[in-house]
Amino acid sequence: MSTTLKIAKYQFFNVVRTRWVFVVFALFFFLTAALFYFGESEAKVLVSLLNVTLIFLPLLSVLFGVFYVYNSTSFIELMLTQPIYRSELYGGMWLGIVTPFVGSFVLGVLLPFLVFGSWAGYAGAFGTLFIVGTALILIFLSLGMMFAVFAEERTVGMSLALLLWLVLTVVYDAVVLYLATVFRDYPLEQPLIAAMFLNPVDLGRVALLLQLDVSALMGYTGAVFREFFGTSLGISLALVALLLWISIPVFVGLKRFTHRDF
Amino acid sequence: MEVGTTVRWLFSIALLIALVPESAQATRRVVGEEYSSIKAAIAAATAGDTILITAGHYTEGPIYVKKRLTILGQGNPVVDGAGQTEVFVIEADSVVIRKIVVQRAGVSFMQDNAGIRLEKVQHCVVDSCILLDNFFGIYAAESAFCTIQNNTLIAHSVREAVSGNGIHLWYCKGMIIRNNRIRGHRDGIYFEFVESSLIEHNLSEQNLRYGLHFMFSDSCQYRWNTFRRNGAGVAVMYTRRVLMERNVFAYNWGPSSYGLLLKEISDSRIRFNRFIRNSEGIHSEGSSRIEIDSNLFQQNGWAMVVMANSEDLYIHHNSFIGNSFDVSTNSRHNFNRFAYNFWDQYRGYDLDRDGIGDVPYHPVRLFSLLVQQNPPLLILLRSFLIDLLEIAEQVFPVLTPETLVDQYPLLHEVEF
Repeated sequence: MSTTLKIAKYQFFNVVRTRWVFVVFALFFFLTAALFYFGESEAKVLVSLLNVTLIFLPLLSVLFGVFYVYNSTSFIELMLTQPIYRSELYGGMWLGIVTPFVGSFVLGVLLPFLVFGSWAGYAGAFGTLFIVGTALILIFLSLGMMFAVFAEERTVGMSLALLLWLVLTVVYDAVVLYLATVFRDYPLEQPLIAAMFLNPVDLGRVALLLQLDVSALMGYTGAVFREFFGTSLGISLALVALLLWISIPVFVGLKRFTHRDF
Repeated sequence: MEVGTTVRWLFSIALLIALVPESAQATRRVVGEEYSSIKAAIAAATAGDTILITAGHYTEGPIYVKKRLTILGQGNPVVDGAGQTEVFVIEADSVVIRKIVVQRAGVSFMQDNAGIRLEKVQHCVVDSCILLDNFFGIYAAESAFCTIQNNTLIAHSVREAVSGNGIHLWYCKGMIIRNNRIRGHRDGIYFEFVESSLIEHNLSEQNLRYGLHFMFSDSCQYRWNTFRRNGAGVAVMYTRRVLMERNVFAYNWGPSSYGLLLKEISDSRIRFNRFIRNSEGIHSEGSSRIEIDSNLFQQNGWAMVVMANSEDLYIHHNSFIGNSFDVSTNSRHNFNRFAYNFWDQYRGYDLDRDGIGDVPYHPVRLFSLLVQQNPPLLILLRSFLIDLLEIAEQVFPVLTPETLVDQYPLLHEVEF
């Protein structure tokens, strides 16, 4: 374990030196601060952050995951000559990449919010934003690392990562929209809820929607969604789904990493 | 007749009335001292007398008031219907009833039992009474020029079928409903065939069905009222010449809940109102010739749903802030006019700096049409894909009504 932590610590400082985390921090810090500074209400700041969190954060994370592993090839080869387990190395790298990213995202939103915002009525919404953002970072960094481990060619890994990002943010919803239109005569609420569970971006979006668009969701069919995601069962299932989305790429990547011939 | 002349005439009449001596001296009859029951005091009284009810609990069955009396409570006397009967039935003109706690008028499926019922009377006043757990609270039928003010009506209705309305008016004229607080009835305020009445400064909340519900009630004015957290919001139907101003419609949430439902309303004005956090702010069906201006729509699911059978609505100088959808409709055709509104989702520019955007704003979004046709799609709200489709639709409108457009979108919120 201590080896893992040692590697994680080294990776942490290495990642910080790449300045990517500062990009994430600056993006969220200046965006949040600017929105508050120009007199937007908490609700509107949240809406703007929602788009950035659901679209750019996954993109940055998945790209960085791929990049970092490719750039660390010589480091990995060096480390593999040492008497350590491959799982310790992979785990250490994962921890070292993930922590600065999550930290810069959380701080980037939290600092301006503490200065300009008010917790009253919005603690739940911002809490959800932190959870969703953190989960997305973990998921997409893990996916990026996984792709890099699988594809020896740098371009292939990058393409796969970009393709996955495009599928999860746009194509998936387009397919859902298409299917929902084709099968509009059938009761669609349950299938749609299931569909949201299969895509972490959608799952995060729905979790935030329930905090932001309560009025709209209370009307019409929205009550069904609210009743499901509002219950402790729904919340637990959503969290389990997110955990699965994190752990599956980590384990698949680790499995490949331990058997790969460097 | 000029206004000045009218006022002078009224003043002279008032003076005349004040100067004419009463034929008999008005007597004060105290229930709880001289009389043991309210009924006995009323039986002994002659027109013009005052019945003073002192603190106590009176369960006397229905009390009929057929003389011109003033009924006053002292120290919150409780008059109880015991869940069986009506409590006060006023059948004489100019009766005043004040500061009495009226409770438990019985639930009945045969007749509309009320805490205080005004039956074919004029110029009566119900003032500062507290009505608790009555089937109907205050019920006026075929009456005119009465004032119902400063009352508190609280019920704990659970089912619509076995609950009555707070203030219920049927075939009335020239009534004033002012400064009442109504909670937990079926409909807070209910009007049917009421004319030329004024409803102001009331608070109607947490009623099972509607906070305010009126039909066939022409020429009424609603001002400074608050309607919030009602089961289905406010519904107004089949009426002409309505003025609604400075009301608050808030927190009306639910599958068929509206801040304000307009059905077959015409020649009316709706202005300076605030619609906050309703599933639908205003829902208009078959309405015509209504001017909707200077209202604030904030954080509603749908700020306005304007069905295509509405025509000649003129919607201007409203502020739309933080709504999930600004406007929704069910057709590509539009017979209404939107102009000079502030839309917080407007992304245009104002090069000549006159405060009016140079690019028109299309408040109906493609997605709101999709949701209208297929409600479960709501779960894709705020999806990146939807944003992309919106942009495409804005460049080449295919599905959204091209004519439903604000040609003069304001760049700043309307202050009022």
